[in-house]
Amino acid sequence: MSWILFATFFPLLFLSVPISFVLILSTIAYILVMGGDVSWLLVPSRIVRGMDSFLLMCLPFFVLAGNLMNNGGITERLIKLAQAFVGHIRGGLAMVDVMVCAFFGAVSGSAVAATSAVGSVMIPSLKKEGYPADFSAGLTAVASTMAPVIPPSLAFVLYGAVSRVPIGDLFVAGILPGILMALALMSVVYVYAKRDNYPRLPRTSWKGRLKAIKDSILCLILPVFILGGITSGIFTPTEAAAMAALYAFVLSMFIYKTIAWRQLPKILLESAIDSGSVMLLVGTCYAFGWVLTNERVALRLTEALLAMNVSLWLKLLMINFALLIVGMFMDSAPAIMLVGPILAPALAKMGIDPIVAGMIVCINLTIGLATPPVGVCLFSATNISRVPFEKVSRAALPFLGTMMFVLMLVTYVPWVSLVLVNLIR
Amino acid sequence: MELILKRLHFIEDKLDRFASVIAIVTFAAMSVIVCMQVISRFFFSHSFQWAEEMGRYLFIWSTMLASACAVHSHLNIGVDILVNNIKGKAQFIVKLMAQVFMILAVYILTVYGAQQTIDVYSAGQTATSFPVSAAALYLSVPVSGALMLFYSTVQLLELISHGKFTENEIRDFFRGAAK
Repeated sequence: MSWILFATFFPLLFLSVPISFVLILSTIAYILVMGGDVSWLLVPSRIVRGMDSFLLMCLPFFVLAGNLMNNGGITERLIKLAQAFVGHIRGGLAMVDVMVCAFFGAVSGSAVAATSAVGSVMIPSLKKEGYPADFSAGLTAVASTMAPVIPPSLAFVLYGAVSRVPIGDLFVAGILPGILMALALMSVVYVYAKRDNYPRLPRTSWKGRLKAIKDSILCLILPVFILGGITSGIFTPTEAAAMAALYAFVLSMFIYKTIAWRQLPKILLESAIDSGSVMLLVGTCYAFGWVLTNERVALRLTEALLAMNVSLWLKLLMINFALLIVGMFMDSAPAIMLVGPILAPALAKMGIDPIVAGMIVCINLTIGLATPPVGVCLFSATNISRVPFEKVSRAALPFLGTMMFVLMLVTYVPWVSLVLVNLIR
Repeated sequence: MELILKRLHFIEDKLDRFASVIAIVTFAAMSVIVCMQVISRFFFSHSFQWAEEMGRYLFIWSTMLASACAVHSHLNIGVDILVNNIKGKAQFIVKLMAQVFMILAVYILTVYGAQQTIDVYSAGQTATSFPVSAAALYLSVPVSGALMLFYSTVQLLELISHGKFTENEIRDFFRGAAK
């Protein structure tokens, strides 16, 4: 019966029908072909039941917190902070770009938000400083995929919800891989800067550095607050997310005073739409999940992987390669929700820690946001830089390679993900 | 045709205004209720029993209505590789087919969502912490489905008569009032 999935799911996807609707149609087509007495009411009922979860309510709150911070002009503060510390190194402004993406990731959990927020300021200033436009756009696109790895992260929320791994653990596990990504990217930037003799910025005095810290500390407290609240058990993830949104609201309305009341409806609507389109996917994926369960896709994949007569090392490489292909064409949110429940049991049977499995799947699929031919971060950076898409993609390749290197570290050195998790337990 | 489209756009604008307002209100109410619940539990050791469930109801309504707004502004997540790399007639045909399939999916969502709502209502199930039928939760599906059905049909007509979609930005209620 699996043929019906190939006959409906992939062609419809390829025709650019929105994924939620592809999932509805594929489920209905499967029920039709299967015959029997399964009611079509399964689809609306499972859509609602899939969305009806208090845990998943942290998604809209994290989105809202990110949007409030972003509209509250935090990007400028974060840029000044990064500039004060790494600006004086050769290739300084490009390093600032990477660091701001990492900081931004610590406040927001969405990669595209990072590309547009950081890119719209950094790409023009990089160009003005004499950096090649394609280099600036490619670097920013790749660096912004750190945002969903550094907590809070929407990708981890989705993965945690579909495969029952505690979201707090995933958040903590993401810290070190996120930092490694930032360091690796900055090293590559340094090599480029030495070779092409990129400019450096004047060194900032310690007084200036202190001021930069003072100006941005209220933004950067947010992730500490979220992580501390969840891991200490004071808050559930949803409550922590709601408090984060409240904090961002107070900060940008009353302390920084960068958002006016009349801007609020737009910010609320944008947040509702951003999280709503992901939540509709959660519901429709849950409906489609019935088909996958009925076809025992996860079980068959696990059996196939276990039966394969190759080393674990090679199996993991193959899984990463397959995920990379998925990520090249599909957005990370639907990919995580479709692939997560299928792959998680298989990886667990192979003896991979569920947290490490979550890191592998999420990091791999979020890197896919900056890979050609389809990557929202690349598209966004292309729009901002006005460099042709092909040139941005080519410039992004070395940085994508760097991210792959970190992904391999995460895959084969479980310590990277687990050391901090074990520390807080 | 032009006149019909003009009338339809007028109705579409009204519907979008309505859906956006409700999506904003439910989203804001959900945020306030959950924050209030946390603060009250934290400082006064008192939790409202209805808060969590009420939050979920509002959340699903906000999600479904915002999804309708997303259809209105062409913001749904999809795989655009084919349609972005072809031109002219071929692109038109692909867009047309995608739109027809989308309408089919939305139609199924609306009709069966309505049926599901009626079933839940007649089963007499209510929310556990406040006296509202559980059908209130399921009602969001046909309501949002009907909005999407209207939007996507208008979009199909736009495509047939103009060869392209009309762009709709996310509604900003105070644009112009600023400054």
